[in-house]
Amino acid sequence: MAKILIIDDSIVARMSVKGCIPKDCGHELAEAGDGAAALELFRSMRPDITFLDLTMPDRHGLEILEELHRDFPESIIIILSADTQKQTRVKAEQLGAFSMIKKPPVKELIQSEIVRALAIVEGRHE
Amino acid sequence: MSEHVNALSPLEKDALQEIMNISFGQAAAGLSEVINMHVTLTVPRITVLRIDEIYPYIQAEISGVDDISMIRQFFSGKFSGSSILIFPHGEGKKLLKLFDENMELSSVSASEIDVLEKETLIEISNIIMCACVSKIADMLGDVVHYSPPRYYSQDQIETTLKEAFSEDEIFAIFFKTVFHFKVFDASGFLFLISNYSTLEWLKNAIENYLNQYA
Repeated sequence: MAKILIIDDSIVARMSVKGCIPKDCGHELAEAGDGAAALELFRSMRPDITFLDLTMPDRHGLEILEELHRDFPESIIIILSADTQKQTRVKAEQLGAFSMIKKPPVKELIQSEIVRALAIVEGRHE
Repeated sequence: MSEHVNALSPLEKDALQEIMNISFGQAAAGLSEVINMHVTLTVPRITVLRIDEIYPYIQAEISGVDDISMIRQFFSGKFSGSSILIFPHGEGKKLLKLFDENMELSSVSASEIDVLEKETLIEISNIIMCACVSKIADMLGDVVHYSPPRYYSQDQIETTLKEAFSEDEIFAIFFKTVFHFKVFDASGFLFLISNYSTLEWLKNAIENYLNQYA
């Protein structure tokens, strides 16, 4: 069981990520629709895994990634974006993204990334 | 300026915006490979407008930009309408080196530069408009066909936009994003104007898209 935060300005995008996460695993899900809410929620919730969109109206996802990774270097932040240009991917990696998934989300890929991320989280607790 | 909010529910509008966001993002990724350059696109905005509101709306959206050029391309399928790219004057010249990085503008006559600028804008517009519309159509389960893109100068734009719709079209679904080529510091406005007659099909296609995550 993991705490998962989904950050995206689109309700539909958040719905689609939630739709990819298995419901029978008991994961605790939370969501934020803008950068400010996302940062506040992240600090109070301290999620194990965060799915972060890049193209948002109030703050770009890379800025949020930079801030979160600076304050919480061990955070696992998976970028979920339609912008998969090489320069964007490189920047996301430099800023500490765990991985980058192309939108629209595919169930198998979301689930395999959750498994991969949880293995790291559990490894830290051993 | 009225917005016909009942045409699309908030969820449908959000879904369409997300589909556009994905489509434009993927198109930008494709573009960056073709022209080897990073392209940024703003979050798309969707509005439903009366046909007679389109030109004033575009004017308001690009306020502060006095001299513009427009490239328009029709697309047809179940999803049909017009793609319009508007460039502030001079942006085409900045982009000339996109297709020929060794070009020396000082060795080309002014009239040749004008022709090259138009051709560059048409070519870039064709790539951007086809990439965006094709991705949207693909995500909604449609295949569209394109007319050749055409260039219009400032004085032709209002008339061209008014003639772009048949008399029985009262409303249009209007999509907007701004794109920027950082290396050349060049920007343009992309508008997609979908015929209102495609609304019912569009609503069904959105529902099908949402159902895959239900």
